[in-house]
Amino acid sequence: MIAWTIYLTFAGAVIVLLLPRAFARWIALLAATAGFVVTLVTFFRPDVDLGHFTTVVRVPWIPALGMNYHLALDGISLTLILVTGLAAISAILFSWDVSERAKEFFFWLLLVVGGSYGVFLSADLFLLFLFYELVIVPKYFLIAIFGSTNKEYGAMKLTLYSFFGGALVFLGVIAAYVAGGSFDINQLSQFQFPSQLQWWAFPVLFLGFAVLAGIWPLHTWAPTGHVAAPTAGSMLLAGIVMKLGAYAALRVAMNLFPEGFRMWRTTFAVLAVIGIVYAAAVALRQRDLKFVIGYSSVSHMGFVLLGLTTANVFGVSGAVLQMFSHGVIGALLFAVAGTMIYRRTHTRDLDALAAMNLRRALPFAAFTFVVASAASMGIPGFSGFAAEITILIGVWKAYPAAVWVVGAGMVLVAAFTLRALKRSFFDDGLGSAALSAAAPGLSAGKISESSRDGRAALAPITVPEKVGAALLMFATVAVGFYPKILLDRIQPAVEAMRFLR
Amino acid sequence: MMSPFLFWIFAILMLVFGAAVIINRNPVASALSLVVSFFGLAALFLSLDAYFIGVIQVLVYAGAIMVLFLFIIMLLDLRAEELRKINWIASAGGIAVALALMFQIFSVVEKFPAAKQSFPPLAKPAPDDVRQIGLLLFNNYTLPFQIIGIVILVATVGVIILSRRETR
Amino acid sequence: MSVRPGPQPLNLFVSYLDLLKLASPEAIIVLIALAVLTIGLTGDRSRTFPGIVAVVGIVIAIWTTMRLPQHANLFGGMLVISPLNSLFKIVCLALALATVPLAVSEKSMRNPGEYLAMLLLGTVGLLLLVGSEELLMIFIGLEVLGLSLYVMAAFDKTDARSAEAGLKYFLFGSTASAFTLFGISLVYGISGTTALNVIGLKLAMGSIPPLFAVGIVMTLIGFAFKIAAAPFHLWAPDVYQGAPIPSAAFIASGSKVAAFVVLGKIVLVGFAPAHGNAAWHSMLPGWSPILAALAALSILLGNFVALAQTNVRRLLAYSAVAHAGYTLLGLVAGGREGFSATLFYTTIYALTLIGAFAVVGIVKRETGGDDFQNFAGLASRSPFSAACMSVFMLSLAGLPPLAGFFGKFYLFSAAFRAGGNHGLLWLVVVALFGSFVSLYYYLNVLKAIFVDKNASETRHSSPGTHRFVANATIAVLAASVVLLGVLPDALAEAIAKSVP
Repeated sequence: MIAWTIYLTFAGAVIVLLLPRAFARWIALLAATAGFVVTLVTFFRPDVDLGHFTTVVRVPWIPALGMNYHLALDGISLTLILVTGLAAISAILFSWDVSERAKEFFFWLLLVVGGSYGVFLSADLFLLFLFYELVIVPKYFLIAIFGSTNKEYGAMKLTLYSFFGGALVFLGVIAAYVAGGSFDINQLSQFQFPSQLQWWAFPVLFLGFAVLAGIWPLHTWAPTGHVAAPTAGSMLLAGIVMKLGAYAALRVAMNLFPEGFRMWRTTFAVLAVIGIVYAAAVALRQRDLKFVIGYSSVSHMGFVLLGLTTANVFGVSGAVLQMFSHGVIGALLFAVAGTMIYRRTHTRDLDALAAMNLRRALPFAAFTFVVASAASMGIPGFSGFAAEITILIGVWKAYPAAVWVVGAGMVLVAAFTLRALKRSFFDDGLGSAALSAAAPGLSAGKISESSRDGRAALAPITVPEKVGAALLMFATVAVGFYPKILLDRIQPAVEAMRFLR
Repeated sequence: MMSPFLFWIFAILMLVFGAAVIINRNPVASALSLVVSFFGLAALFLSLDAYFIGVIQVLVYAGAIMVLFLFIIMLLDLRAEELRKINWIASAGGIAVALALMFQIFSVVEKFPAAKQSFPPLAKPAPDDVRQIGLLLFNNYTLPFQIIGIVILVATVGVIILSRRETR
Repeated sequence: MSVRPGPQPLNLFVSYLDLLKLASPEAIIVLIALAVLTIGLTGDRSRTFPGIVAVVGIVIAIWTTMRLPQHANLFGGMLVISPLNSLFKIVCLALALATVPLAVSEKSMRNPGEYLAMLLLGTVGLLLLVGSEELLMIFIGLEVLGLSLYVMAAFDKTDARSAEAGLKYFLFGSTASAFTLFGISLVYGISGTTALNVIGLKLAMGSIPPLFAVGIVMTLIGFAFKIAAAPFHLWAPDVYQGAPIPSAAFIASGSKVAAFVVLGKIVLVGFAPAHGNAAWHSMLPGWSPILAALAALSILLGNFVALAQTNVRRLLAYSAVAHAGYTLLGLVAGGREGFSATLFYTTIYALTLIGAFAVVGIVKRETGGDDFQNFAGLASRSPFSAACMSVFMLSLAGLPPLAGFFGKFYLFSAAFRAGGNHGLLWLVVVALFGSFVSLYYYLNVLKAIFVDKNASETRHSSPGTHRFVANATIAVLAASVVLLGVLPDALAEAIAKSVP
């Protein structure tokens, strides 16, 4: 049944192309909602075995080379499918006003979503890789056609990074296939690969996937890509696409090559810690709101990678929870920055925003941003806290020293989040003297000019935006108060993985 | 069989006049050089006891085809090509590449264990080699023999297509 | 080797009727070529009628190919009928079939009868090449094919570029022929036979004589010209750019497929004992390190030079160089799997490239050029062509769910598996790097189509029927590229089964 998420989404993509433009957004919303409903039904069905990667569909596909159309489900993939559905629905709601080339827009958007469902459900290595690569090109078009700042550069950079990661994955997949003689992930995860192969195949595969998860130092596509993308594009990137990398790193690289994982995990843990701190420090210096959020994504994904490298139940389960949490929070942050603010004020410059007094003009946006920031900082009661605390417990067990560095990183995260929050919504424009000291390039006259323009044009927050934001806020709060609902499903699946044994 | 001395004479003759075909600027001189080169080739065929091919070489190539060539050249009244600048760098580069290839081949071949052995003697051909060739052509090589017909067809049609003046 | 007797008359006489039966596809195509030529000479200058005759003839030839016996071998390998050969005769005929509509819808084509006749005669060359396992026939097949292609490249006499393309192709091609012939004559001189399987047997008996090695190298050089592998690719950019579009498409597709089939047979059957080893740490002299070097050079050079192109046809030419490199990977890997992978890849590549050239043809007719700027805004002018072009480009880049993705996977996994202890890993890494680089320029084409604003206004639009014919061809090709990507088993298994 869960396989219908894929079919419904792709069917929606095709129907969007076939029907007139007026229907495009409705069909997209319908397809995404249908997929989400299917997910929810599966989520609350008691008879689904989430502890193991249980086969859902299995049909011979290319028997000549041993490929199957093989889908399977466990708690990890279900969690990620859930966040995919959430991000997809809200992304569509937040692009309700796309009018130019709307058919193409929703077509590409649904392709990204459908491909992601495919990655999360694939139990066949080739199939997983196929879906993984399938997502690359739609992203390019979403950004290059519909994006904003420096869009062609951002789109090309993102695509090339993804494809570079894809090339590494390609190599790893071939190595696993040739050595293991099969594409079945469950079968391969029981196969004893030679250590020499694991030694080089694991980092190749892990790094290939981690590029998409924004691992330092291959993270630079993420900020530029997020900034260039249209709102829905950034939401999908932060909400889903970055998770593809982390999920596949867990499902394929770590699951297949446990020995290689043990050899390399400290290296990757170091990279993850550097990523957390470095991205947070860079975010502190950004003036473009989307850049701030883009770097915060990299920092949060650093937590995911760090959690994965702990190689214990807490760390890995926390990483999966963090994937969910960041998917929701990241999407929410980009929604506020991209649609609620940028679409109305035509600027994302923090200094310019500071002069606009947006708190009064857009109270709902301010509220949403406060919630999102709180969740992002890891304040208890939101999903970010639940996830990060679980990860930190795992890290404490595996790399005690890293906890201190990460703690410093979390302070930085709080610092830049608060800074962005204050500048964008809670600065009354009175502190412009202090502002121009901080940013000498911007004259006070320019600020007041742009603020006058901005205030005149600010439209109220629309209903679709409110619905989308409410959906995401509900998700982060719900999981924040009751993380067990996800952890109960994630933990058994994590425990079943071989590298823990 | 012929003495190696004569072989070298004819081979050098052939190569020198082959080069002369390209170097000469006067088309008539080029064509005549080609005739001489063909004669050298024919002599080499004879030296390998391939009398039939040698004779055919003289009759068909040096005789018929070259006569046609000369006819056309004289009918069209082609003059000597204008002296144009020779791109010395390019020519030197070309010669260098050719020499490098030669050198490469020789040095590789030398490495082989069998490189120093002399060639096995040739089989003595049957005395009536025309009959042999005929038999082979119509037995073993019927198919290629007929496909050559297609090659000639393609060449003929192609030449007509390319040489016809396009009327608008 | 001892005293070599010359070839003896076989004394087993094949009746001409049998010969005609077994060579019926070739015979039919020759007849149709003559018919089309006559129609072109007598009738009016309509482009449709000769086209229909050609299509019907090719379809009949495909049908007769399917009805050929399973196995037959005439004249010691000169005409071999096997499942593999029949399959690729059908592929070559299908490629010719896809080229005919391009020629018919080409507006500037003046003498369609003659053009189609040359196309069909070239197809005969393809059939002979594919159907032969004997060096002499292979050479004659190459000549039939080559002569037709030279004429096709130079066909448009109103365009100086076409003449340049023809001349360049002719000069390079005849040099390549000379190399091949020299190589073949050395091989024949050493082994005393031109039949590939006998050459293989004789070689397996003793050590490899030095002149034979020279023969191998020379033969390979000749074929490297044909498949446009670097550094023997210099003709490709000018020919792809200058030749009339159907000619370029046919040169890039049919001629390449046949060349790969034959090259595969020559190295894997005839030169099998001189395989050598291309593995990184245990290189042994033989043809496989040579092909590996050609492949690596082609991949790197083709992809990097393609980055700098602003003309789509030139870009396709350099990408063709790179793809020749990828395709060689399968031959370097050797064995059934490697050869199957090469054959699969070259087939889907040919389909993709004909499609791409068909779209280029439409754009050229409508805007008068084929640079990037002429493609700008194609998505709004003609969403259908734009969508198909993106299918072709992304398949070339190797993205799912298109045929190129599976093709590359098949090739690279075959190469990875071969060579003991992943010795060909270096080549796979080079190829993956190359395909990573290639995405950039394919995306640039798509960027022009989808993102850039419509710069050039539409100048001409072709008449309805021709437009329809071109669109239908493109649609069929794009659909087959998608289908072969989603369900590659159809072709992959047919090939894998037929490879001996």
